[in-house]
Amino acid sequence: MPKIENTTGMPINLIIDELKSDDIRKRIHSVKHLDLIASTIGPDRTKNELIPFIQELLDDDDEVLIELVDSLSRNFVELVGGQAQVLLPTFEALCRVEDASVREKAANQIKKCLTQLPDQKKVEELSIGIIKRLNDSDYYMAKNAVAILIPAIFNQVSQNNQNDLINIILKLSQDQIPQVRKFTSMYFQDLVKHFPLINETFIQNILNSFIKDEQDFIRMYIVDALIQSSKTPFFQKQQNFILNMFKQLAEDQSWRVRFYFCDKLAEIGEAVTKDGYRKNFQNYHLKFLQDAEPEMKSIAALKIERVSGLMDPEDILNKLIPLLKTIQSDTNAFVRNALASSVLALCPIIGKKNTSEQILPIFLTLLKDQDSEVRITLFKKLSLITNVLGVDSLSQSVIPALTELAQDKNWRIRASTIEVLSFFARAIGPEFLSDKVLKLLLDWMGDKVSSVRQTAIQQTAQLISILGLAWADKNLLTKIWAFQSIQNYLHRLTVLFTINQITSQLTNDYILKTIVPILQAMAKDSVANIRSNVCRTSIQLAKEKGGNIADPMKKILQTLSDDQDAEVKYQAKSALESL
Amino acid sequence: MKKQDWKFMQVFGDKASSDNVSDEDIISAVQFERTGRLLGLGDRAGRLIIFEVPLSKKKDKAEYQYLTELQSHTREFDFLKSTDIEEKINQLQWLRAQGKNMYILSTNDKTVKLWKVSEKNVTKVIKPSGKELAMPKLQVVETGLIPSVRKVFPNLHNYHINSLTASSNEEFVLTSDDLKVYLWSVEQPSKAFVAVDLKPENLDELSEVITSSTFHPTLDNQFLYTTSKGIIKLCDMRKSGICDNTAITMAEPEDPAKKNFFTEIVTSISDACFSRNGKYIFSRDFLTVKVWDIAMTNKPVATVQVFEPLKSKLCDLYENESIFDKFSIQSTLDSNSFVTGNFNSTFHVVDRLGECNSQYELNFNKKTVVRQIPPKYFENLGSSYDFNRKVQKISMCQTQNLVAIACLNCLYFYTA
Repeated sequence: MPKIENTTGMPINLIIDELKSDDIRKRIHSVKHLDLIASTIGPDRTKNELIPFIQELLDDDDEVLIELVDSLSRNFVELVGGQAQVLLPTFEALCRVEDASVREKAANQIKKCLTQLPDQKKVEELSIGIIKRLNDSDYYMAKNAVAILIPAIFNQVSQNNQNDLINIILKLSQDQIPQVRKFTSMYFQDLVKHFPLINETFIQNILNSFIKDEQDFIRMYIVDALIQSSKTPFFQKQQNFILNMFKQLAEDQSWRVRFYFCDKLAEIGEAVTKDGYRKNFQNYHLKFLQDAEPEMKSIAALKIERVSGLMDPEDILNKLIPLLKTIQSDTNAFVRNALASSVLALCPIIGKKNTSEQILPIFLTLLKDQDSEVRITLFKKLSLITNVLGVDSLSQSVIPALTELAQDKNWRIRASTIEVLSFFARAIGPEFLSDKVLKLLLDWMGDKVSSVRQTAIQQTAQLISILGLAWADKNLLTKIWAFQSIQNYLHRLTVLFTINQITSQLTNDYILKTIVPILQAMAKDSVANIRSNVCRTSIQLAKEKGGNIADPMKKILQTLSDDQDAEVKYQAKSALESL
Repeated sequence: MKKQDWKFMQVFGDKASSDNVSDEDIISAVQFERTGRLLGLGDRAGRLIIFEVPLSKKKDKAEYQYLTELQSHTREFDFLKSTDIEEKINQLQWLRAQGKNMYILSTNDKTVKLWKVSEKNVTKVIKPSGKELAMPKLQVVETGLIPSVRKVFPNLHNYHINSLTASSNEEFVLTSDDLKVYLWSVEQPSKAFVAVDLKPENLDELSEVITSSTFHPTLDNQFLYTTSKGIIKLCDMRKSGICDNTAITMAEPEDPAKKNFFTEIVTSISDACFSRNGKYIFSRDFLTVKVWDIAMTNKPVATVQVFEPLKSKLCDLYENESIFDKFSIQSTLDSNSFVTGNFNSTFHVVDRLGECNSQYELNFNKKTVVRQIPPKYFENLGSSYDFNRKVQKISMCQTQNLVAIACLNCLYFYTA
């Protein structure tokens, strides 16, 4: 494998020493570059010296360990000369740490290493050894990795070992420590995939014990296990069992379990097919939309987009839409926001007439919502309704709403609204970007908050890439170049920043014809900051475009190297030198 | 109900140091670890001291020994509000040990930290990697119990944290300040969930603040919080996200006839706990303890005057500000009695029907000094009654009848 280049600016031996530095940031930096160290000393020394040394790093802060596991996950198998089993002890040790993300990544890396070993018997021996050691550990958190690894290797080991592994899972599912039962529940979805190697009775017994567990987070994950088992032949054999268990979870007294169920509705629907969904679960979704708990209404509203594909259009009209009328005026903004993000997905399904009669009123109400976030969320999905009803009919209502958001007191709202423009450009095309909308963009370019101006400039670049330079020049750019004559220098700067942003999209002809005169004029600006930025823009254009652009740029820079301001002079001179 | 006799077992501290105690040595938090083998102590100087029962000793002769200590919090300056953040430890909570590693949560007014104390070898580099790029040579410089901070919970509370409890499944931590109760995940402290929010639209209208909160001993979805108006709210996290709307309220209506200048101050609940079996709630305000049966929320089953002579001293207590002192309360293992502290180095053990009030006096003579306080008791509290000797923090062991009691800078153990 190719050698890794040292771009750190530090000698390698210093990087190695800093692995044990007192400063945590230095340790993190060194750990990030373990692959560089390994590449420099070669695979043999990595195997014999570096990997054993890493054992000394395992007793460190979580921040360092997170970097360590990420670092070792990158091509380290190659760095130890292809011998993946060398890394196993390190990953096994990382499966015992307190941070859950490190344990999970380490367990997944063990899985990856095992797949790269050619000898199947060796894989079996190593994996069973790792699993048993972690299972017997004093640290109960090590059982997290056991729950992850057992499903990964289950079908690759002997019958005897499979029986042992089943017994381990059985014991973990009844462990007195709730976290251990949680690990087992979370990863049971991976184990059920092995049906019929895992037999029916076992699956049912485990799920039955979980559903009776008093801990919410253990019952919650049954949803995933049921979804996975529905994709195996287990579903045909035990359909009633699965459906009943789903229903128990949908009716669970803890709203967090119901929430998780609702969150997975689309996957459940896919697993049990449309008919199964309509018969068994559709009513639950409708019930959730009326739940007393705002979090439940939110998630149910959010899911409308995805479950609408499973529903019969008649049911959508008769059962779902009436409920939405209450939600659009819910006191909780999160609920309304969730509705705004998914209600428009119904438009293509129910057709033009129904959209106009049923969805349009909801749309118009949300468009006037007092919470700006709700309005912005709605805008992002605008194309769904304009495709059905046409842009013209909507522009009368949309443009004023857009104008209002564009002038919102809160600059973050103004900035978010700008980003909506490229959605429109992409989805609807230039017809939407009428004079009124373009005026808004120009207002944003002249906003008093610099972040808003920055976002507007970025959007201009986006619009050019979607709609082309010719369109942009005719409708937008000429007006931006007019900013040159604004008294406030900050707005004149906008001209230069815009040029910087759109350099890659400009043709050389356009530059010669339009940009060069601008730069020549601004090189004589009275404000030094402007002239300084002219230097920056010129050098950028010269470097990126080259060719016949380089000369005019050089001329401008030469003029500026005689500037009265020291900074401008210095910039121009160093720019010329680099050319 | 069988009456429990508590007897002196052990004391850390002596008369000399107690008479000349410096403010920073005053103990501000006490907590037993769930197996009873360990005890944690926090003081005003931000120190966390751990005691253990050495494994080799026999159970009935078990005596605690100093194990180790660490500096949990230090004084900080809040630049935004231009105030000091004290290093005083407000509360401690043990988490399940893993192997030989101990885990304990500790908090001051603003920040919750998770400490890990483990047997470690601290190593030092004695030969750095040289031109040959060899691995640095390490040498062990220190061996023993080394503490390290595993997690620091980001500073979310606008006001001072008054309580810290972990759920029995240890997935969640509950913290409360004057206006909010937060639910944290132990694994991911970067996010917290607001479980209760008492902030009124207009802060000028503020009339009630949260004084304490605690999880149910066994049901991980239930917790209670108490307010300065003497109200207890029992919340169920399963019913709703923001728990206040669906909470069960337990409050005794105010009797306008008995109202006086001090009523508002003395009805503020300083601490409340569930009985071990979860059926009762014991709440402590300045003068009384109210025993509530969770099944009956309109009135308490008993109201116990902890030490009635204090009623006549309310003016003096207001003058020396002792009227604002907060006393903690703990339930005994059989749930039939509660233990709470008082002034003048005394603490009380009372049965939950309020029939038998025993007052124990802490002393350095290794003797158990106890007397019964009959109902409607009166005593003239003379100048020898020391309001500075406050017994504010106590912790009941979860596995045996053993209570740890803190008074100033001294720690006492009593068993029954």
